[in-house]
Amino acid sequence: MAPANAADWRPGRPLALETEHYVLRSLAPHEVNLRHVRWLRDPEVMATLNLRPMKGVPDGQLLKRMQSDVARADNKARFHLGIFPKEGKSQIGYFAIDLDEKNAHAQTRVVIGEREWWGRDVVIEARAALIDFLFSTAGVEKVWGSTSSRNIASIFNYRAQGFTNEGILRKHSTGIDGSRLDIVLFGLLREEWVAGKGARRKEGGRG
Amino acid sequence: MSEGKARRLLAEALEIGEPEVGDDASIFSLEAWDSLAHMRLVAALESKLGRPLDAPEIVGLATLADVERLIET
Repeated sequence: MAPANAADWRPGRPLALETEHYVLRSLAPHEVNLRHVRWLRDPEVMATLNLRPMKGVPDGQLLKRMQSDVARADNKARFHLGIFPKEGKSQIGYFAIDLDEKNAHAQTRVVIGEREWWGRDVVIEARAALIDFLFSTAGVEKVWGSTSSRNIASIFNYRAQGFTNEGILRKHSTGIDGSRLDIVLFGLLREEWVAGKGARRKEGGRG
Repeated sequence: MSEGKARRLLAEALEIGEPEVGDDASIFSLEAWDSLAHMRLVAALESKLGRPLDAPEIVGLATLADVERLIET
């Protein structure tokens, strides 16, 4: 089934969102490739997830794992959206979204696997389109996320986009080096987004 | 005093001139203040203070005034 834009999307149908510089669209399992495996093996990329790089696992096994993960996205309660720059077309990252229909909130997680795209406001620009979709079409009242207190770029992105810090889970997680890490919670309410409270670069970014 | 130091430190992290850092400079208003600049800023503050910033300090860092407050502590 071809991905639908936000206006035509119905629960269960693959989704495609467009920003000034990027396309976000539902991935199919057969689209998982060695690019994704390379991200799993990149220490700096994996550090943004507070995970060690995948070593000692054959490419084929990692591909299967990722394909299973993508296959679990039903485009209703779970989405796996690839991020594709309009220039170049190759995927540079993805959003994973878990939507809790009963409580009308959605958790988003993002990975930018291609490091040359770091620091270019990809997350802020792409997540803005995603937030618009979640609030305007998917019936969500709140978008939230969490990150390690040492993931400075992620914290910056949440704050610059108008998310509110809703708490810090002290020494909640074990870091790659074995240290205890605080986890920071961020939330954004529909009314805050509509009012544009504190947010910047809502419509664009610099690509 | 600390305001001048804070402005200089922020300008260096953002790789812009000090005059471009206005009194109301923030992550919401200053284009050069992107995620990589923010990482440089945190590293510079930690180097200056001689200790890692804690979670509330990192989460609360969003304006020139915040930088100034941290330097004063």
